[in-house]
Amino acid sequence: MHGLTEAQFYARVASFLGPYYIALALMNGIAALSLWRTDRLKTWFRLPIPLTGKSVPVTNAVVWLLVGAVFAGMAGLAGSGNGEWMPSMPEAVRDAINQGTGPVVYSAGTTLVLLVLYLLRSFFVIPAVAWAIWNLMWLFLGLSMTDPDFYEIVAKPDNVPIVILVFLLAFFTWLGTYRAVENDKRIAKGEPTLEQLENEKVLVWPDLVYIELICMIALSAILIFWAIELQAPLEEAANRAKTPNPSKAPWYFLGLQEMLVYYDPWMAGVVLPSLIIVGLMAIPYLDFNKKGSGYYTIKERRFSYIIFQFGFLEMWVTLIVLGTLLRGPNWNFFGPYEQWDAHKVEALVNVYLSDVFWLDLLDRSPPIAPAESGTLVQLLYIGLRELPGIALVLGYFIVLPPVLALTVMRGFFKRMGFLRFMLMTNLLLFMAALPIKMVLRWVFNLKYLITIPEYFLNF
Amino acid sequence: MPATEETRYNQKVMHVVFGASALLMTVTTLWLLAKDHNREWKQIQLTDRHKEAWTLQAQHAAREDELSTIRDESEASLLQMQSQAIDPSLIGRFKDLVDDASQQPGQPQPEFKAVDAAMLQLNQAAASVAQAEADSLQELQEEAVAARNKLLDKLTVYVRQALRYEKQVVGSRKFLAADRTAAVSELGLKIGGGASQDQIEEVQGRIDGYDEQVAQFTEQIADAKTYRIDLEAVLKQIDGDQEVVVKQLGAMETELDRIEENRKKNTSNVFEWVTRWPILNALYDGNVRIDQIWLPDLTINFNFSHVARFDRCTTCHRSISQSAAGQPTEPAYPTLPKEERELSFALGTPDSLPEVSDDLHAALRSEYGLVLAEKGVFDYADVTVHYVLPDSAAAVAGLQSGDVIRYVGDIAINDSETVLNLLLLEANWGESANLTIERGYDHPYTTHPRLDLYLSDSSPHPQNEFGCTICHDGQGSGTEFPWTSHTPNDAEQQNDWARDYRWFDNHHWIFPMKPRRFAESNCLKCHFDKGGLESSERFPDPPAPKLVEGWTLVEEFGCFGCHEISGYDGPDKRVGPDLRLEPNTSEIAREILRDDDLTVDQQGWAETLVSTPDDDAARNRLFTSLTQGAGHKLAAGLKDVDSPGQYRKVGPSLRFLSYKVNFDWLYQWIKKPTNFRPTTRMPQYFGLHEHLQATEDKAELATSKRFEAVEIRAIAQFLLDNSDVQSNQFEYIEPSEVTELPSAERGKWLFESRGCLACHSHSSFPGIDSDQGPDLSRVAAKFDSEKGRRWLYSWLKKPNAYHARTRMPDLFLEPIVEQDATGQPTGIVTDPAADIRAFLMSVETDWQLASAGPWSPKERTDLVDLAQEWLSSDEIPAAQAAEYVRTGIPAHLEPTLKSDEKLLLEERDAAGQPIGRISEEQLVEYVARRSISKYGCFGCHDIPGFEDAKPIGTAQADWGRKDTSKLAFENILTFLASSHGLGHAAGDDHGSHGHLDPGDFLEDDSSYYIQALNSHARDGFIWQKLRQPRSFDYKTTKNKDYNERLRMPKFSLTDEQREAVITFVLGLVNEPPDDKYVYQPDTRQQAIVAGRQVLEKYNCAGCHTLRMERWQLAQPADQFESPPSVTDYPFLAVHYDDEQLAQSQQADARGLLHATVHGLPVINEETGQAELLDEDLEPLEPDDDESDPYYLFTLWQDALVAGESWKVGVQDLMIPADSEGYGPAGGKAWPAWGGDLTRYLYPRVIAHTKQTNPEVKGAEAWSWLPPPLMAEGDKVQLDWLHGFLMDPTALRPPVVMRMPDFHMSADDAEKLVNYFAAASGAQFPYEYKPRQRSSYLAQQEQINPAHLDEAMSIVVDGNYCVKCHAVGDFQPQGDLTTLGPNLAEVYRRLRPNFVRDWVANPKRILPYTGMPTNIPYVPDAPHEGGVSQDLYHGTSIQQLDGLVDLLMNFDVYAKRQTSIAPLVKQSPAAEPQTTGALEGAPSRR
Repeated sequence: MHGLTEAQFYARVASFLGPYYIALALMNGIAALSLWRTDRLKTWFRLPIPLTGKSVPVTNAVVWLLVGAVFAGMAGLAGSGNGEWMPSMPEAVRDAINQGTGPVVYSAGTTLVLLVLYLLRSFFVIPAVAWAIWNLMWLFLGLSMTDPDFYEIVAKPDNVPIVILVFLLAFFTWLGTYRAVENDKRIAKGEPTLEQLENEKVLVWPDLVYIELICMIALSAILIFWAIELQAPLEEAANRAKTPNPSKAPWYFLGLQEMLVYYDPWMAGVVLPSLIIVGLMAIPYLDFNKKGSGYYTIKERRFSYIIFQFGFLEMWVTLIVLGTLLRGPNWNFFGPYEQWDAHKVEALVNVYLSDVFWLDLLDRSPPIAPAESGTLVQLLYIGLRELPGIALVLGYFIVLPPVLALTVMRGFFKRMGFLRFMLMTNLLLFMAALPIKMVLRWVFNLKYLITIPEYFLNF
Repeated sequence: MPATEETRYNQKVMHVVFGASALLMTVTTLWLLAKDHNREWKQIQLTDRHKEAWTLQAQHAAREDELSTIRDESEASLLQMQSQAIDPSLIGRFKDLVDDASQQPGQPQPEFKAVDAAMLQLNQAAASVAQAEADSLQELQEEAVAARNKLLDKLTVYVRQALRYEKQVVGSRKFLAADRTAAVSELGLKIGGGASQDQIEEVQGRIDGYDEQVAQFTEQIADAKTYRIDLEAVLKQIDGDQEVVVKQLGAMETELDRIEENRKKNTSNVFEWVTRWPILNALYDGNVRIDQIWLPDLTINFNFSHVARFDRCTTCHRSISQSAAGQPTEPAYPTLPKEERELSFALGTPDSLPEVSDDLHAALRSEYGLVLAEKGVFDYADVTVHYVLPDSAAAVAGLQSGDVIRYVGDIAINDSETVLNLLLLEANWGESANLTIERGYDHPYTTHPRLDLYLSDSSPHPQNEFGCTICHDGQGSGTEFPWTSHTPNDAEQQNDWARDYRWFDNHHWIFPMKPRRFAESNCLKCHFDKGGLESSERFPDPPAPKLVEGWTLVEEFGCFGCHEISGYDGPDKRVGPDLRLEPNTSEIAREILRDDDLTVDQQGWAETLVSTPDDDAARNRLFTSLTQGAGHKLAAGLKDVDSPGQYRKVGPSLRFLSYKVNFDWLYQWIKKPTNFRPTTRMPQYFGLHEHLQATEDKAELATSKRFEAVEIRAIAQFLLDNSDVQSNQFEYIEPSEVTELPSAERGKWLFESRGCLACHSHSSFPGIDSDQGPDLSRVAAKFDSEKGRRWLYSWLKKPNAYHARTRMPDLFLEPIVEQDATGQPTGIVTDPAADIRAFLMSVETDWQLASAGPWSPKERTDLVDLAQEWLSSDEIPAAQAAEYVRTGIPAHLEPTLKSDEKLLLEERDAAGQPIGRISEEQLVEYVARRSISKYGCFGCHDIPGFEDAKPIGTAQADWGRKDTSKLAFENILTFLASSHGLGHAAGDDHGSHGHLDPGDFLEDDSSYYIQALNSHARDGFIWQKLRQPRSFDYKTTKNKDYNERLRMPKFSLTDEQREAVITFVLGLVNEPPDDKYVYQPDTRQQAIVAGRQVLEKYNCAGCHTLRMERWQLAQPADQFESPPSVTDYPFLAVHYDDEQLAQSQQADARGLLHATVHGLPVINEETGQAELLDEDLEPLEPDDDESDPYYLFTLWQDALVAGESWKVGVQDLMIPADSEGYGPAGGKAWPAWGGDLTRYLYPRVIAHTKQTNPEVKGAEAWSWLPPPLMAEGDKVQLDWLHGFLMDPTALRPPVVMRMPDFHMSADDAEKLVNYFAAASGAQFPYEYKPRQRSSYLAQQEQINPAHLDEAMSIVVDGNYCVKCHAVGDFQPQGDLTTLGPNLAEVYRRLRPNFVRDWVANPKRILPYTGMPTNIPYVPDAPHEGGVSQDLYHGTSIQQLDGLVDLLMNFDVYAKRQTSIAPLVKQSPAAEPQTTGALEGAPSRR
């Protein structure tokens, strides 16, 4: 930990982890209490008492109570401040995570996780499972905190919101999915959805206004508390000769910044963000599915759901998390337990499609405009040089939509009409272009499909 | 759902939730307010105010106590005076005055009835006072005072009347004057407006009228004023006798009031208390406020702009600049080191149980002079000394106000009752009680320790001009401990701070405070010359000792040879210390001389430049002539350089190395210099393998060992071969013809006494340790060959013939012709150089020269491999290189090769045809040249062929600001964590990620650096770089070429030295502040600063004492008897003003007087140590514990001790010695500067001389040794000194060693001359000497035409000057040791006033001198003493003046004795020139 002796570091972490584990213990205790009080006890298994032949039912409340007790025990150990006693992530696990992760594994892994979560959603939304995952997430954070490098990144005051974001996002995604799965089941059985069951009107006064007032006050109080305890981190004086390393955008822009790795700045910084806004604005006009209005459902809006979750969770939130927590000096990827050493170098040799095409495939020099030729001739030569890339890109955006309309998305095309379909597919293709570029980059080191450095134009 | 009154949520629950959230909001808001209000600094300020109030209150109480008796007495005597009757004559005079005044018309008749009545009353009252009994005295006195006051009131009425009248008249005149002014202006307007003459005259008439009236009034006013003043004078006379007492009382009141007022300022009143509440404090801050110093010109560099500095440090460090009362440079609240915080005192107790009343506190005060405070300063429960009465037992023991009593004996103290009981009821009477106290306060409640240097108004860095952070760094605008970037000094402090003050390493603030260990670094921001930071007369405690040591080490070790430290940004702009090598002119000239095609002129210029490279004329001419035509490859090195570097290379020249040493020795030396000479400054380049010890680095270690052996061998061989070429010859100096064979015994004495030990150490002379030159103990092993011996002789005789830029001087080791007692030659002639050589070669050493042997076959292979390593590049791939190093590079590739690669071109046969082979010599030279280039040997040594090589290291001028991301820390933490990195077992378990815990490294004080390395800070990097320079290569060598590895050598620095070097380097920030802050000394100071650099360069202080010891004494008033009075010439008298006298008699709280004396304690003639004596001035036996030890202290500067003037050369002071160490008891001794060798030799020359002359007196020996130079500037003429330094001549016959010839540049000599003049306050660079003007002589001769002749008769009288001094061609006979310099030279050498003072009383200048006072001054004797009237008629002063005139005009006098005219021979009459010649050959002119 920067500038702290080991003893100081452990003392500091302990002062956080002690209350942290107590909070977790309380959380499980309250859960158990609530299960018990609301009579939602379920006996998971029966524990036989030796010799008596009898058995004791072990209910969910008992399990969570035990989990709470374990956390309480950990609170004592973690609060001791003794490095050897504090529960920590095993070194081997840390090393494995460090070595096993990288932008490829991270991006591909999150996609995979999303896929699994989607496919097995009816399992994951079971409250007990979700609660277990919830506990594990907190446990992961707690165990990792004793690692100085992890701590330094996670406990940085401006990264705290990102950590909170991860947990909040997990909770709300679960909530939405839980209700959607429930509704889907109900719809299948022909029952009204949960929202329809709760279709009671709420009075503006006093109910809504009162709730809003309370929320406003509570939120202000929390923000004040936050402002007092976690003060804005000031960094060093700006220096044009030495920019901060890493230079990071505000957290909500880190997804965009991540795109800069794969795209030319004008694409990642101008075109794509504009398209995101335009695309979001266009959704109501593109959406032809009348179902799912006013209630949660997945089955009835499968396409929209998948596209949204992919675009939001994968393309936006995970990139923010990646950018915040895992991108270090020189915009290199650092494992969560890895020290942010500015001297880390990643091998990056860029490959350009035109070079591959002309040099490797055709084994000849790319076309070069004769010296002293006019601008037009030069442009023509450049066009010729970049022909494969241009063809690919144009093919992607122009040829692919009709092909889709004729094949897998025939139904869409029919219902949407030409203009809407073309708009939708093009937006979709733009979104898909990012993962495609990522894969090309990782697999072939391919930096750009079209490379026109003469005019700072790359794609 | 239809609208109903039913709500979705239970409103009661909602109310509760709302209530809870509102409560939460209230709590956070209050929290916010509290957090904002309770700022750390507020409490600190309040505590500090309390501390200050406490202290002032104690001061007040102490002073009041001290004054109470005096005040009572004064009041009583005042009462006594005021109850006396008033002298009736004064009243009578008063009445007369009033009567006289009333004679004026219009004045009422005076009425004195009331006065008379009051006077009668007073007289009665006074009479009854006189007869009063004691018990009713005061009452009667008071009555009398009332009566007296009544009388005075009556009299005052008249004074008031007089004043009123005076004012009236003044007022009337004012009106008249106004009218007159108006009239004058009217007149002006009338004249201007062309009024008629009548009108003008009318106005003029009015003006005249006014003038008349004004004159009348003026007269009246004068009268009235005189009258009033007279009346007042009488009244004053009436009270006259009381004036002194009233004044005294007033002064006491004022003093106490002042203290009390200050105390009130630091005590909170109700108003302040209320206004400090939140919200209210927006209106007024209640005197608790952020205090800031605004420094608009001391900007902070924020990259985009330079912004003004705001230092708010004094917000918490409130007392930082507070000085003790009446002592402007003594801290009010000293910052005491830990060991001085806990003190024990022996408090003397009464002889028997004192009679104690109930009031134990009063008893404590009366018995011990000790008063305890009701409350402690910080902790109210502490038993704290309130104040101590002066001269009391407590004061003598050393107790002070504010001391917290922790123990009395072994008993812990928790309340004052215990102290009272222990000291007043239960003590062991007659024995002293042991008090353990705690003294001093913690930061931030203390004062800066060096108020003489910083913060105070009398210091060079006043607080309001400099602030704090310009020196300390840190974030001055911060007001909280963690945000101000304090930096802990070690891990312990860091842990404490983190715990107590929430300290953390805020690496975003790029100017963190310097830790205490580097506090001096920042001096370099403004001080660019070392001399300005060394101790001086004004600052005897060195201002920046560590920094100066670091600076000196960098100079000595020659760091700047590789790492240029440029102090210039552009030709004139200084930005920091300037440590750069001088231009290589001398070496280049030497190299150019090897060229055969030089013209005679060019050769001449080059030869000049070899020895005097600062000869710009020769350099420019050579440069111009060499750049013409094809040019010379080294010519560019002769170009003009703006502000050239000043430093010579620190190592010896290797140009003629083969004439000096053999291969074997050279090989061993390069391999590991410290093997041969443990103290050498030559660093170790090879065998630094700590970082290659890991098992996986075995192969790398082997490579290192393999190639290093080749490198050493190649370099050694190359250096020898390269210096032994035809065109590069060194000529040995052959020994002179003498009668005696060289003798080691004589040599030893010569080595000792000729000054070698001023610069060199030698194991045969353990008492002295000098490090200007190398330790010579083992040179016998080095030069154990014919050429070595010949070289050594040549070197001793003429060092700069071998190495033009050496600092070793020419010692004039000319053959010595032995003389007998009568001064006649005995026929024995010895050669001192040969003797010294014989001595040096005779000293056997345990060091054995091992033979390096010839190249082994394996080494040959390694040589080829290394050559291949060097040759491989992108242009020449490894395989190609492997071939080239066997066959040579084909000749046709020559144009593409780099210069060294050309050495590897294939060999040619006799016909000049390439033959596809390469010789071993070629490979050796190639590898050697590459290796020398790699290691940068030329940074310290002159190596032929490397004259134009550039330093290999990174420049260091701004290293203190170097971006840490540019420092390659590599795997250093892992290395340190491994068992090879740190001396003690760091263990394997030091956290993950190679982090070390600084807490484990407290013992050897490296914890700070470990922490710095952990946070990748510069100081950690340089620390490890200096410790183990190659360790940053740990685990990186595998993937590096051999020649890309780190190359920095290891210098043998101690831990302290290393830290000093770091202190210096960290200060190199290249950020000079505004010009007005940069240290710009006045001309005099500048000369001193520049001169010190030269003094150090030539080690002048090795022989000469440049400043005597300075002792600060603290002694009881009766310690010293009065000095014997002496009758002196009036101009020798010393004067002190009243203030100085009063100050020297001012006793401190312990009743001690303070004085400062300069000089030396008397040194024992046998041991050479300052001698301890007992009361009877007998030497103290070593085991004598009974007697009090004393030093006899010889003054070298007049001193004022206890109000008495002690003069130099009259009597030594007997000073009680410190029982613990060296110096005066209770005082402090500052060491002398320079003269170590002189003091070392003192007993030895006495012993040596005693062998031939047992009668010799010890004190005389000083005059045979190098003289002290404290007042040299006052003594000698600058022009003479300059010439003497450039070309020293023998001056004084008895000296055992002569001033050697340093081959100084004129510039260096000038700096020294100016230094001496500046240091002694003499005129420079020119001096005006009226005594040597012919007009002066003419004037003197008008008064006494024969005065020079008469003076000459004193000189030549056998009883006076010529007894000891040579004069012109006259040589006195007698013991050489008693003879003085030739007087015929005095006029050129000495300053007139010095000669006068010297002849008047030599001992007043040099206490040890053997020269007597020849012309005594006896004011009462005829002619005021003096010599016989037969010799010179006149008073002693006239005689003295005559003598001085003669000596100062000896050339004039001598010229008068010689007539040239008779010598002139007339040439034969010139033949008239032929007209033909005139016409035919025009004059060449």
